[in-house]
Amino acid sequence: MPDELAGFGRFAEPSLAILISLADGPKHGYAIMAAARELTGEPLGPGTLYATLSRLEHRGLIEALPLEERRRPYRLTATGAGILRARLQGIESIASAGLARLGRSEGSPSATS
Amino acid sequence: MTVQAAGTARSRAIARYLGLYPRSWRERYGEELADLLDREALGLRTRLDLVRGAVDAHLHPATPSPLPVLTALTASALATAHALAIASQPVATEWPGYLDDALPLITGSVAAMIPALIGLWLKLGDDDGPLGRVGVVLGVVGATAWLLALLAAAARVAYGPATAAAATVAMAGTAVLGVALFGRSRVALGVLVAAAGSAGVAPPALAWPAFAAAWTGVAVVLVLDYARRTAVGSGIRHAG
Repeated sequence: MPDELAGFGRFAEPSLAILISLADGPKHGYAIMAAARELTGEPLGPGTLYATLSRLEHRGLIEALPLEERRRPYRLTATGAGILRARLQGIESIASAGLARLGRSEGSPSATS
Repeated sequence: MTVQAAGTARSRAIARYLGLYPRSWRERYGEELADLLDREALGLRTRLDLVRGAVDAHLHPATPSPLPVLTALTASALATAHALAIASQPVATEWPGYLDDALPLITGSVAAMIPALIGLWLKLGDDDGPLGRVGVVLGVVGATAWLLALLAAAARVAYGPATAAAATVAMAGTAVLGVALFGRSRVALGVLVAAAGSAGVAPPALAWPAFAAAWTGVAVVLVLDYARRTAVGSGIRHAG
């Protein structure tokens, strides 16, 4: 599956954080913001959050649920879950390859001398 | 300040920031964003982020704006009239006959080009890339300078190298924007925009007709694109 998030430009990273935060179930805006902040260690501003949510929603990666008082929960769609899985597997593959090379490099004589 | 007064001031601040967003956006997201802001510290970073979000919401409306289409149509119609006015002149374009007959037409065309170029840049979507950004900045700055130079010429202040230099920058920016659109698989639109930006390198007799023809093509593609997007409803918002 191609990296659909690449087309989000500067919203690619917030998109990934939001999709991950929704991976374990629906959340409303404030909970998404808190989960994304916990995940990345970086604050996700409300303007960026809603600009990203609207993009994800219009591209069918997430869907809005009915309002609960003044809060609207969002959840991953099947498309969104597939794209998130592919993206995370790509990251995992790169990380595994990088760590393996790092391990080999640290074990080599030139690295230990 | 009492707790009640502080709450009122905060509510007013939130309403003020929400007021920066388009109405249709507020109807869809306003209530939940207001709820979120009720529980979030309104620091400088948050306020700047809200302003940035509002600008983004205006640039990417839920329903496509007809403005780029209308301005491209205006630019092409006036450029065509300008090319005909030039072609009908018995002598080469020079002061003052050219100014009287053709200057208002090309001035109007260049004025309409500015929002049209911004609309074309928005077609690149979020992943506009450095080429798209360079193109729109050069195009808009160049077209603005070109417009000012043409207005100065209309006021009989000056006409000459400065006008040509500004037009060259505007054309170069337009051509770069066309290449960026082509690179994002907007092939027909990219070729036509690049052609509009490259018209200046054509032989003098062909330059203005080529410019007018290319902008007419751009306008036609934008009209068809707008008709398609409005027909499919709100399903495409950020895809460009």
